[in-house]
Amino acid sequence: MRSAAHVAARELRLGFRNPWAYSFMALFCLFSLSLLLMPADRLQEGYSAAAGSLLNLMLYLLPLMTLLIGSFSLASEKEEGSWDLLATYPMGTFAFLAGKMAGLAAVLITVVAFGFGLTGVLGALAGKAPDAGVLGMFFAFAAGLILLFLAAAAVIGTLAESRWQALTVSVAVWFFLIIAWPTLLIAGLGLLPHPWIKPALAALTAVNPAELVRLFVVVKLGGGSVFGPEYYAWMNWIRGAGGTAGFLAVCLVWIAAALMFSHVMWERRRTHG
Amino acid sequence: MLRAAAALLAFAAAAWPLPPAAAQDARTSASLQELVDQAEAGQTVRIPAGEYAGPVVVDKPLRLLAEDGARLVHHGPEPALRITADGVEVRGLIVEDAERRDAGTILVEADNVRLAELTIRTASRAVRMVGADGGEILDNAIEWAGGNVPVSRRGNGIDLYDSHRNRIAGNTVSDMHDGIYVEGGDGNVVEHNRVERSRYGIHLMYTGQTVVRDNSGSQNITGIMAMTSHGAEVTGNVFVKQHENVHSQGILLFDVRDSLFADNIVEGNRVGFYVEESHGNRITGNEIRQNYIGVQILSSAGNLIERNVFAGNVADAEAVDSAGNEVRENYWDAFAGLDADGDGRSDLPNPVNPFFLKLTGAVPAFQLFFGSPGMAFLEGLYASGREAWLEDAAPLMEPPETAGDDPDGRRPSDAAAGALGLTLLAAAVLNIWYWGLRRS
Repeated sequence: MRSAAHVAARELRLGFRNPWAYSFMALFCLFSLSLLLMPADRLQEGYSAAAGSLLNLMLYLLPLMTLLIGSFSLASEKEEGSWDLLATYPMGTFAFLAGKMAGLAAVLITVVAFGFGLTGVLGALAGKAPDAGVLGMFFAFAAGLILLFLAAAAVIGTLAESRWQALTVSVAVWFFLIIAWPTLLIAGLGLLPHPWIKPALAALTAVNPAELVRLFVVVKLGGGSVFGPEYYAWMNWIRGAGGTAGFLAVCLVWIAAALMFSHVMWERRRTHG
Repeated sequence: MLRAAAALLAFAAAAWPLPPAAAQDARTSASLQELVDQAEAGQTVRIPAGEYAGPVVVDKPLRLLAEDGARLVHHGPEPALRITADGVEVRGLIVEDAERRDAGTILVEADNVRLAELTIRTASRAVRMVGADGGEILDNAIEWAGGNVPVSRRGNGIDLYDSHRNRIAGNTVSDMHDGIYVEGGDGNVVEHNRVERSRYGIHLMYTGQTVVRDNSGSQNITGIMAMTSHGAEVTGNVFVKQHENVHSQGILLFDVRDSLFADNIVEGNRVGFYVEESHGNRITGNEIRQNYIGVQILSSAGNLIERNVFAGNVADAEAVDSAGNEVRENYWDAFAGLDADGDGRSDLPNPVNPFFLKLTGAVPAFQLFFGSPGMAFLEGLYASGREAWLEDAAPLMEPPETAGDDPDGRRPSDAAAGALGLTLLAAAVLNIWYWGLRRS
């Protein structure tokens, strides 16, 4: 536990003394502010165009940044040999992994807190403030997105031998989960018998953190009816307290599974050298 | 003039010294029917305060003016109040009827009947007009009193069947099946009514030349449902927040012909305007704001869609098999136009991609991709049969004058967002300073 905290603190110090955190912050602020300045597009209560664009911005930007930063961080430990050094210390592999991920999560969440905070403050000063509840919800979901994709990044960073490999795989995973997802699913599920499509789609959605988070936000904003009669019962369930608990449970399973897999791989590496 | 005369009559009736015993008698015998039976045709009957038992049948032309607190409380298989004579007027009565039946609480089977300022609590249809022409249903308040059953199993508020040239105005209806249902009549006028939390606000079925004007409503499954009707004039209505149900929309047109839909506001609905198999209509000057989907058009042609405002919708439009419409000079806030000649209209058209509607028509499960960034990417790739798409030939660069404030009128609080923003910002800056800038 103590060693995990040390690793996390090291990660935080590294993070805030490197330019990448600030360039990511600048990018994120720029985008959320430009959305704020859109004419007539105030972020109001409920599922609206402004909420939809902000959601899409988050889905484009956060997973990519998180995947790159997270996987680089692990791959560089291997590439630069610092893991070989750390491995000689009496420190558990899990403490190392959990500490790194916790530190990175804190850095990334700080970045989005800065972005949303700036949007809220400037919006209020300009008299174009977003709805506070919606802003808070978006911050919460940005944090959720970061945690889920950090878990994915841990797996990528574990498997990649170098930063170069981590970059390639991260971009591929991002493209697959964010951009190509509907195309691939529509093509793939189209081959299934009709009654199987909906359950298969549901199962696959739970596997894609981006879709999971997007659906959850839209439903919590009250927009669940837009997904049509097929999902009537689900949407009601997700909207209630049970939905939140279920969402958190799926997220936890996701993160735990990813960390466990990474742990096993790092342990094998540590013992087999 | 009419109102003044009515007031004068009511005053005269009130001033008439009624023997106390008689008044007492009317109350204890609790028979409104007797009052009606004793009155001569053409007379004005004053109904003193008190509780009366139904049913009541009015079979001669009378004016029944209820005093404050006159209540007709009814149990039984017949309607609480049945009007079979032309020219009857009933005003100010409270009608309570907790029984379920097809005929409704008030059944009107005669012409030129006026029902005004009634309060109706019903467990079936509040007012049913069958073959009744030239009537006026004014300023009534209608509420559901049948307990917690789904709206699909409740009765209609005001229900016209084969009735013509009636005027339905100033009524409020809440928690019913259809607020105002018009089936098979011509020339009815429905104006200044308000319908909330019902299935359909205003429902037209097989009607001709119906005027639906300046009505409002919220949180119904559908605001205005116009089906198999022609020559309707639907103008100046405001329907907001029809978004809870998976079938919700602000205004729906199905098989509607040669009608006008102008200057309506649909805001915060699941779908603002839904148009299917409808032809020869003019849809102009409407404000379609903050809906999940602004307009959906299916298998419709020959309509003019002009000078509407599409603002803040998550998706502005979806259209399939609807190339043959004249669409121009609408304002689409999500469309980046290009106006080289400075006439205020974009030289680039705004095409409406049919891909998503086609896809979800074939496999409804794929509706789950609504608003997904990957879906936007896929739609961008899809361009087959471009010439068969619905498109706005010359979209407006700026919204037309009509665009007003949103009828909901609620602004997010600047202070709340400022405070939350400040908290987040302060926490972030502190974090950055502590780990990044501080010399440790």
